[in-house]
Amino acid sequence: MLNVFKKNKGEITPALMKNTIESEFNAEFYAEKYTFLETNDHLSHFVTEGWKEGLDPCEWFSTSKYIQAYPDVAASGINPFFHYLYYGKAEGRNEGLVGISGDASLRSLVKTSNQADEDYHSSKYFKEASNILGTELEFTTEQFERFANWTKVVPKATGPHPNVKAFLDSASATGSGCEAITSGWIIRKKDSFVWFETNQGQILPMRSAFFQYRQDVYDAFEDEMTEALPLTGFVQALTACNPGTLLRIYALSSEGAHEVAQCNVERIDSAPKKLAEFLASINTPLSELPKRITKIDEPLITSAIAQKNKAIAAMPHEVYSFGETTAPGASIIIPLYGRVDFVEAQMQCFSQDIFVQNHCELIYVIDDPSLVEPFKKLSSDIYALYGIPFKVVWGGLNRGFSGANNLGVEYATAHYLLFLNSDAFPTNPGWVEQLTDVLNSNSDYGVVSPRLLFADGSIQHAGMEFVYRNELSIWVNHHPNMGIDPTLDPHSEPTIVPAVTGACMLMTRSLFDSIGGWDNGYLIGDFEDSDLCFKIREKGKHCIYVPTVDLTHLERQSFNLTGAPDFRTKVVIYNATRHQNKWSSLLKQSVSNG
Amino acid sequence: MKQRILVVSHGHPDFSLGGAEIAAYNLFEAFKKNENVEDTWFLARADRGRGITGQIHKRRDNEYLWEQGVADWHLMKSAHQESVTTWFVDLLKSLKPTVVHIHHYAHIGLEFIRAIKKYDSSIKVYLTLHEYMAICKHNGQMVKTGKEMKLCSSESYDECRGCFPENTAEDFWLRKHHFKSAFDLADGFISPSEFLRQRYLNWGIKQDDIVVIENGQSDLPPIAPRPIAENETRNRFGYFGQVNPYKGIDILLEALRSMTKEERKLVLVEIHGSNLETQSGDFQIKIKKLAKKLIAEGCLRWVGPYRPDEQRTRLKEIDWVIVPSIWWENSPMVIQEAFTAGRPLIVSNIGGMAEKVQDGVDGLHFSARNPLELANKLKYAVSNITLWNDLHQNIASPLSYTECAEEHMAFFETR
Repeated sequence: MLNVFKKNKGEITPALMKNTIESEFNAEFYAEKYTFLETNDHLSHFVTEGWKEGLDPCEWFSTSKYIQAYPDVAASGINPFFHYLYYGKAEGRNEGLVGISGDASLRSLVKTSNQADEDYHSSKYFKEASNILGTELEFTTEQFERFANWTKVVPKATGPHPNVKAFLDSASATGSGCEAITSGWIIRKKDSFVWFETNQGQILPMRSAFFQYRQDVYDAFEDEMTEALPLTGFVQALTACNPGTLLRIYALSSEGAHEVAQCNVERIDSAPKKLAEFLASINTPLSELPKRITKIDEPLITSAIAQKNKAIAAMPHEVYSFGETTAPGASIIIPLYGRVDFVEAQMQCFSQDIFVQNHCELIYVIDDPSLVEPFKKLSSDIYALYGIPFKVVWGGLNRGFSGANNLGVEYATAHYLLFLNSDAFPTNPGWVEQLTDVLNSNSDYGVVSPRLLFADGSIQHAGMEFVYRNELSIWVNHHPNMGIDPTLDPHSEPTIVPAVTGACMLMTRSLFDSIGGWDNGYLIGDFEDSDLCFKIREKGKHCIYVPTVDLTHLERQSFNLTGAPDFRTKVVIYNATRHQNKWSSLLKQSVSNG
Repeated sequence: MKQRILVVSHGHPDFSLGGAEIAAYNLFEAFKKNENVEDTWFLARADRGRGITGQIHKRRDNEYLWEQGVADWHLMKSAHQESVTTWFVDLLKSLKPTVVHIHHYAHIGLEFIRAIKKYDSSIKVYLTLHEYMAICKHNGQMVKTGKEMKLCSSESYDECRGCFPENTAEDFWLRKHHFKSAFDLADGFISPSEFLRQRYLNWGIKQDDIVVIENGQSDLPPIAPRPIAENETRNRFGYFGQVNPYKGIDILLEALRSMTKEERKLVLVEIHGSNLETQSGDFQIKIKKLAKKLIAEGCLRWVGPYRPDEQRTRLKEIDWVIVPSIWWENSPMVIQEAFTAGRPLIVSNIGGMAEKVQDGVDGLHFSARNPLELANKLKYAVSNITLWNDLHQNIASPLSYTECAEEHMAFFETR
């Protein structure tokens, strides 16, 4: 017997074949697609001849693709659609499916007995489960633990569940044992009891997942949606789940626990950015994303970042310097990421500024492994030509904007800290003294920041505000007066604003230390400056915009190099969510408050 | 105090015969003879076939060659960075110049200007600008990229991006920042034309920092007019210089093609041009195709390249010199050379050409890039019996090498 028939399912009769095909055959589709057919009995045509000509029985199955993918089926001479329905589906032979997100194909992914489970509510298991978890969606950790223990005594039932249908799109784990994530969809009723089970025995009730609307599931199961819970998509974070194991979903019936879905756990990279990229690839409507992030993504990424930061703390630093600044008044900290060719252009500005040359300590923090080698040559060329002392610090790996700035501070010795982007160019000498003068003019001032101009001379930064983006449910940074002529700037004097830019900001070392420095829990450089500003405001100090000092900022030149725009958007949402979870009250006070 | 002047050029006329390097070298020779100059040297960038070693070697007494190059043309950065602050500064230490007069920084890079000032800020640095390099990334031509080679009148980050879509506006901000910060170190600028001066004033050089001094010429007397018989006309036209798409040779040939056969019989055009063979294939084919029939007919002679010392001999047999360039030019050397020889010119009515040749006084203008207009001017020049004599008489003798050096010394004095 050919191996295509290896599963013993009894004798295959023409009637069985026809009946099996009939259950999924779409005569309307067949007639519309193959208008050349002269018969009215489309089913018989497909069963006898149509499949041999490569015609498709319905919109979700491709006869030719199936035959191409499974030569054993082709060799056996069996009707491919029958083979799929009778054997292939259970064997996971899904290559003949077309439009996997199309409604009909989702149905083909799941099995149910479609029988009423009349004894469900009176069953022992239902009562026990209800006693532990209740039928409401609210729950406590303690309930979870009891539930997990209880599931161990529930017998495994054979056969499909009467009505719960679930599918796991993916399950992935970093292998650290801490970060794992799964996503999929489920059709269940409000009183269904469903849980995840890892093969290491972790049990998590489905209720703890993040749920979201799935149009494709709705389209495929519209007939069942009157009774089912409306949010069918889920994303769940798991622990005790390692790559290479199996993740299962069980659903309770009057007979016990039915396995309704299973999936292999894949390995994903544990680097925070890679993990974030993976999380970004799991689709969630953007307006719902902040909720998901709070519940699922943030704990996972925080855990990954914490591990990375532990590794970072152990990393040796490479430091070299050219010349020496004695008793500097201000330490200028310049992180380098993506490109180094701005350094010389900035040095050309410093070379016209006696104060910077004599009283400032320049600290370049390399935050990009690919820049380490090129900067060795460039830095010595630049020192030979300009003769302005500076220090170079390389922290062994990419630490992000916050981490790089914090590293720079470790090597700073001056009273003032001036954080400066490498693509910000002072338009006139004297800018550092002017900024320190403003900072010293009022003891309530915490951080001062100049006006930044685009290359074309229009305003880029004149203080930052926050606006609520309703479609994304997040507070984002807003740059007021961006793009206007600086002569039209409504401010001409130092002004208290909700926050200032991290591209150029000056504060005292003692204030910096008292707020614990830059928060390195954000992903890829966003919201870190406003976070720092909020920490300063929490101390009762103000953020000051100084319109009398101008720098040209070739903004975003160094950020363009990270990821795709779609990922970028999700990173902004991630960071914004983290930011607003931290600072919700200050954010609400910050609306156009300057 | 007598000056010690180091002249820097992007090429040495021993190896490269561009207008700028010849002007630089002639000025160096004239500085030698100037009584206010204690000593003077010539440093030229050279390619000696050994790669960019950064080394500086003596060429002959008071002349040096520097194996330097440019690694980044967008920002005009030197290829051999180390030599800028080592061997080049060693040369300054040895020569002890009071003035460094730079004629070009292409192929050298901008950094050495900073190295001079860092070594000794009392050394005066002057820059002679021979084209629009700092303003325009397109070889300093101020002609748009693309087949039509449109003339460009203004630079801005976004317009420049139009010519170089691979660059951002920010890249052009950086480019200008690099050039400007090097230029800011110079003590003064010299422009051979008012036209170019105006372009650099718009770009950001201060009014008082840039003067116009024309390139010097030999003080040989004018050549006698070509002897002609009574029934002959002043119908010999000459083109002198490089043959490349900016020089408008095609406009000249198309002008001839637009004339009737009878009209063409009345004129003879000679092309004393070089480097056609180094141009792009398309351009070569176009020029050769245009020339072929005209040569066969006898109204065009393709004479080919000449050495500088041959030029006067060749000009003897010429009545008019044509400068049909399609770009602005600055102060084309050939115009001053034609005036030295006593030959009126027919030139494009734009930029440095329109400035240096006065229409109806010492030459004729034609509407740039317009072959029909050039054809009309050729016919007019041949048919009007007294015109040539009138224009010829109005030619003023150009600035001599000696006078040129004196004007430079006077400018240096004021700084």
